Amino acid sequence: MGKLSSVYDSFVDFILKHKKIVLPVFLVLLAVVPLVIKSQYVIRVFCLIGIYCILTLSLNLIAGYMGQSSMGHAALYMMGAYFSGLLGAKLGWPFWITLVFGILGGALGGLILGFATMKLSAGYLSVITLAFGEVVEMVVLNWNSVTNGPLGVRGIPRPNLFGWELTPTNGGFYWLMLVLVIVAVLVSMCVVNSKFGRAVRAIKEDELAAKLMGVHTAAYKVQTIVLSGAMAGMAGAFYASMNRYIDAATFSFDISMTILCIVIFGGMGSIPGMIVGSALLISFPEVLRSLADYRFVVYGLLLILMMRFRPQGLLGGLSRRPYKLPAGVSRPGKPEDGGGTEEGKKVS
Amino acid sequence: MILEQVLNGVMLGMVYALIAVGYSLVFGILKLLNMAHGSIYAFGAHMALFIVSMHFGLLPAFLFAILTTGIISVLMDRIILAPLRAKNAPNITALISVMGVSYIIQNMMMIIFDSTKKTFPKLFDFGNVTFLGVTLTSTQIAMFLIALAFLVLLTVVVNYTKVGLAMRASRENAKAANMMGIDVRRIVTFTFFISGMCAAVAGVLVSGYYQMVYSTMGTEAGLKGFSAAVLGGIGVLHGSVVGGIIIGVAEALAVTYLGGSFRSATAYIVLFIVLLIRPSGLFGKDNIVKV
Amino acid sequence: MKKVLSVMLAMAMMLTLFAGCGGEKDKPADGETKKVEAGESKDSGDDGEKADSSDGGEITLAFVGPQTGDNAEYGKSMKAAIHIAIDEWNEKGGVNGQQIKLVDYDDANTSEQAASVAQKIVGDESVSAVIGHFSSGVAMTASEVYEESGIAYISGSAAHVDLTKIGDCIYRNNAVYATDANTMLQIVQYLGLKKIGILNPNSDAGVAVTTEIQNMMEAYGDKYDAELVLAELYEDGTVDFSATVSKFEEAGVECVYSSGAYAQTAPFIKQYREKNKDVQFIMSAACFSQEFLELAGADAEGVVLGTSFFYESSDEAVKAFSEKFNEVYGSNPSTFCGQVYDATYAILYAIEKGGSADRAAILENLPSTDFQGVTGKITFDEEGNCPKQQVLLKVEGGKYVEIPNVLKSQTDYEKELGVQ
Repeated sequence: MGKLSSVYDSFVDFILKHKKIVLPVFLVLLAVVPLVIKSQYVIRVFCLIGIYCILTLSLNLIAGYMGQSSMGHAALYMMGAYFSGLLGAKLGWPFWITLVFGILGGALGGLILGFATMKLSAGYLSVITLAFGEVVEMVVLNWNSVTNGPLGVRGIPRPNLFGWELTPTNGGFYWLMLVLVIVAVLVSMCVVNSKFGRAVRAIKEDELAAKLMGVHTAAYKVQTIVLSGAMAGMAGAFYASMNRYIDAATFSFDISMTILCIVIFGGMGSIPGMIVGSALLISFPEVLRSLADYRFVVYGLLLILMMRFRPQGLLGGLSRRPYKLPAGVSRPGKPEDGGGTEEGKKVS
Repeated sequence: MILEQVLNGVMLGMVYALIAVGYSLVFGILKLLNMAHGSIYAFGAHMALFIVSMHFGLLPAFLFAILTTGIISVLMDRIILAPLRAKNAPNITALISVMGVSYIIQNMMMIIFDSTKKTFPKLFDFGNVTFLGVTLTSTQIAMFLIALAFLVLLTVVVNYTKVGLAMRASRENAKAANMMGIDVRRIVTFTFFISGMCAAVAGVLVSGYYQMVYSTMGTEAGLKGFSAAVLGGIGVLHGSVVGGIIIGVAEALAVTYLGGSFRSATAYIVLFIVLLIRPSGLFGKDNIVKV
Repeated sequence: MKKVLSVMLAMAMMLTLFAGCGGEKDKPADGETKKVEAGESKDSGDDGEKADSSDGGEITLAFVGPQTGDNAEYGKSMKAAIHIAIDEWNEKGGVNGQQIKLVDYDDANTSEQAASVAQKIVGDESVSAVIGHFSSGVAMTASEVYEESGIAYISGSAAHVDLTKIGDCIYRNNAVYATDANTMLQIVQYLGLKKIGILNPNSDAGVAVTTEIQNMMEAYGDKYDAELVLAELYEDGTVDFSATVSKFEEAGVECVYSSGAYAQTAPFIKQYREKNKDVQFIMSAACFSQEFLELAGADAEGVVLGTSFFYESSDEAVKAFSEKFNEVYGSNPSTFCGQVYDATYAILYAIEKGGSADRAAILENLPSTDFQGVTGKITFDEEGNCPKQQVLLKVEGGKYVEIPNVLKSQTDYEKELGVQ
């Protein structure tokens, strides 16, 4: 196992060394995928992976940087999908406006969650999010006049860009997905590199110490959850428009668990980890369809082995570069490659 | 009507309490939310069903279920969790690992026993009992009494025996307990065995109560049991019982006054409110963080 | 910048993964096909194989259903039923001289996977038509894909009101909610009961049936002499019904109707019977299955239900189908099985009529479908629904027994009642 991981690490090192050539090439390759690959199915799976990238990046804000886990993330996803879907299907608003409302819907869910958990200790957030998920589902199922209850929402409009209707077939959704994922990545990066991000990570490392250092912990917690909700809402709005039909059963507890598993699998706190994790775990059941019955068994086995041999996740321990210090602050006598301080390891 | 519904809720609450104590036991010592408990509970029920279907009778089935479930629970700890503890891995890795175990157990059961709902023999049948104008079925009463007896027994073991003392010592401070000559490793193993046993007892009792066994039975029951444990203060045994009953009664009353579609959500709202007022649950001790 | 790069790197890895996946994509599908063929030849003997090699063309139908997960039993049994239909056609030389084969996919009864699978199917040019998807919500999601790409889809179980309204490609061969509601009202009148209680799942089906019943009773007014005392919903996955039972008892209902799946109605019946031995249960076709009888045990005695398919019917075709199904699957076919069996026939007739397995040709000929299937006369109305005539069954001695000539079609019944 150790040998394997060292091979893996040197592979990653190799790519990092040549990133200036490798990465732009791959970005271009990603952009032309719909032109090259004609299989709608593969495009569809790509879109699904994109959705999960956004969802996991969203949960990553809570789990990776704040160090708390959420078991009801599907609820925020659902709120985004319903806000956007209902406005589109019932009032006929164009996608671009309902997308904004989807994001706001997710943020609203985050706000409620944030206030509810502001005072609670870390472990209980998972319980509260679990409860929150059930309550949101109940509202959706029983508020028939607005949400159509268990009948679901049908006929959600597709996005229209200057007269060009985006569909999964013409690749429009794929490019939209790519844009949204890039937005989510940029937001996550901004968060990590800002004062806000440092404060949030300080809360993760030691909440009490952060408080004593003058970090307004409660406010930061709520803001993080709201931001996370907004991102999940964005994914929901996209999903609603792609599938054109949503119902409460789609956003089940299983989805919450899948999101959490990917975050952990990819490596908490690692943005590339979220993307690689989503790509692997979402395509996994598709690739392993022939394994049918056993695929969830394999899934479980994978989680266990991961935790045993690579608990930091696939890319969680990737970054070995030193933590970037503000200008004027010097690192107390550490050699270049030994920059793997605690901080440096966790942030990437 | 309301009295009958409250009693219905109490009976249902005992079901949840039985599952909740399993969560509480493990959390008490390892501070681990054993998310595989729901699946292990379903495993216990299936083991009993397996023996029953081979016509060995209920008692052997019960014993076999307790034994195998206890063993699988211990194996989970030995094979998967112990190495993580040895590495001093963060708590969340253990949480994810048990979720993996949960996936494996549940899906293996689905493959072996398929996804149909199977009948389980009724445990007791001596007619209905009516008092104060409330009709309770024999199954409900038997279920309540057995669950109560089991929970009392468990409380006695934890609070008044030597093993229980060692368990409580390990809970307070594992390192100190180790130094005092308590084999914490063995205590952890014992705790997992007891927790597996609880799951099996709950599995058999609940299956007999509803006369039904199916491979996903652990999901819903596990979540409710988990909520009950948290509500009562996870790690506290009598808290689990009270938590279970509160959730059960809340559900019964929700069905009565709001309708069946509000049942789970009401239970979770109650949990929500309790946690807002008492963040560590009803009987949980507030953790004082030392600087 | 480094971070941007590492992100791109990750995307790159994703792409490489898919390059591999894209290449492999055809392999698992092939594997599935082979597996199916193997299964087929096992069922139908050697002649199927021979015909395959002698004839160049082959017609491919796709079945999607849950084959893993919570509802795997439904998917597996429906698949078996479709295989029987296809084998029957293959034995008599296929359709238009071409052999038929089935590819099957698993959607685990989740919308997310169903959409991917649907996309996979429509992308496979060889597939002529699709049958399956178990739950309504799942079928709705997938139907959007089928409609968009113009492939015929027939459901054998999804009863969502709007399903067939999605478009011209979407058909169903199962009773719509109005039929279920009307059947229930007829049964209540036949039994001479006055106080009705309803317990339905809080799903699209449950809510829609409840609404249909309420609307119908309102429309019939005084001409219908029973009253609806209590209409309740329950959450999917509920096993404890004690509170609900107490509520029904309090309301003093004489009969309880439930359209829920057997997994929920059986425990409900058991828990109700413990408190009250006399109440009459009226179920829907969802409880017409061997599993229901096994799970409800002795408490199932006296339960009545309406279904469009009865495996012990005197009809020759039904008998033959039930026998074959028993042989292959080891239990009696459920209503869903009968419905997908007929759906398969409907598609094959459409292919035969149009002389082509072209997707467009099938769509052209499906509306004029007209044959006697195991679930009654199969015709599609303008929306794509198949009007169903149901028969009344009663559980007696642990078996379903037909009570003939009780249930009429909705129009006949309403005429007799003097409404409209």
